[in-house]
Amino acid sequence: MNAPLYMAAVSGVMLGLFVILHFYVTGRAVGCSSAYGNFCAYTCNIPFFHRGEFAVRNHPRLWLLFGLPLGGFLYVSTLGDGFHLSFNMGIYDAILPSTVPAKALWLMLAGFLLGFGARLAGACTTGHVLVGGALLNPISLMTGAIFFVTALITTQLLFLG
Amino acid sequence: MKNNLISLALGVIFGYLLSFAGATNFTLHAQLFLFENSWLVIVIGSAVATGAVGVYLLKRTNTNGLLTHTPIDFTPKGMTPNLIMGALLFGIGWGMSAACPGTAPTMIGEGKLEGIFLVLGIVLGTIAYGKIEQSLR
Repeated sequence: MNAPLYMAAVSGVMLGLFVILHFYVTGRAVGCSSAYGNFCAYTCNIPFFHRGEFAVRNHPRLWLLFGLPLGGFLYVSTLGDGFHLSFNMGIYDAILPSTVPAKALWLMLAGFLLGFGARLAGACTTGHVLVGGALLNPISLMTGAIFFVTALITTQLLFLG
Repeated sequence: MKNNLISLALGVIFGYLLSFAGATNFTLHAQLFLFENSWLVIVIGSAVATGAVGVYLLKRTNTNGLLTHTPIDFTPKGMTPNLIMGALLFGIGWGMSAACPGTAPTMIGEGKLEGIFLVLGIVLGTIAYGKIEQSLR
């Protein structure tokens, strides 16, 4: 990001406005990780994905998840520097496995921890940080702090060498 | 169907804003956790502050949901027995990949192939939770 720092505040305010817009339009909080449970309902017969919060398989939050890549594509096609395929993680490439299969495996392991951890914790960065923060919910603020500190320690250890 | 399409549109907006905010930028995450760049801290802080003001106003005005015509559900996430363990695992995943369940699909739309493996991993992690969920209670 070469943009001036005030643009970070502008984009943050817009994300905050989005959280409010989502509350107002749909009457409920925006969430990302639980939508993966709705996706799982289509791929496996595990009872957990067919009851409770996943009883309605074709839930609007699953549609929100499908909208995300479209939004990413729209951004790079408009304000971004155009759509092109890449497998380049910036400064992570200096410390992550260099072969494509090993890097793919690393990412899948990280994804696994994100998916498993989010279900254990009840929500992800969206639900606990963006929404939980907006609700000033102490449990979410604590969870967000643990997310942050653990990611910080992990990153510090990765870049130690 | 109308609700689904509206959520799809909201997802497009959210994905656009996540990209715009640099949340899908790997290096920005590393620099955040290495104390080299305050960009994402400013993003998160201003998002939460704006959201808090908005939630306060929505509550204050007793606004109903536009689609539901019923009071907005502001129920906060509650404590669960394995919340702390889950948060620790999630944080390790975040630090390993500079991604989260919302940014990973957004990356795919930007052409970042990392997103495909991340989403695959998140789905597998979610399935694994569903498989062992019974024994966790």
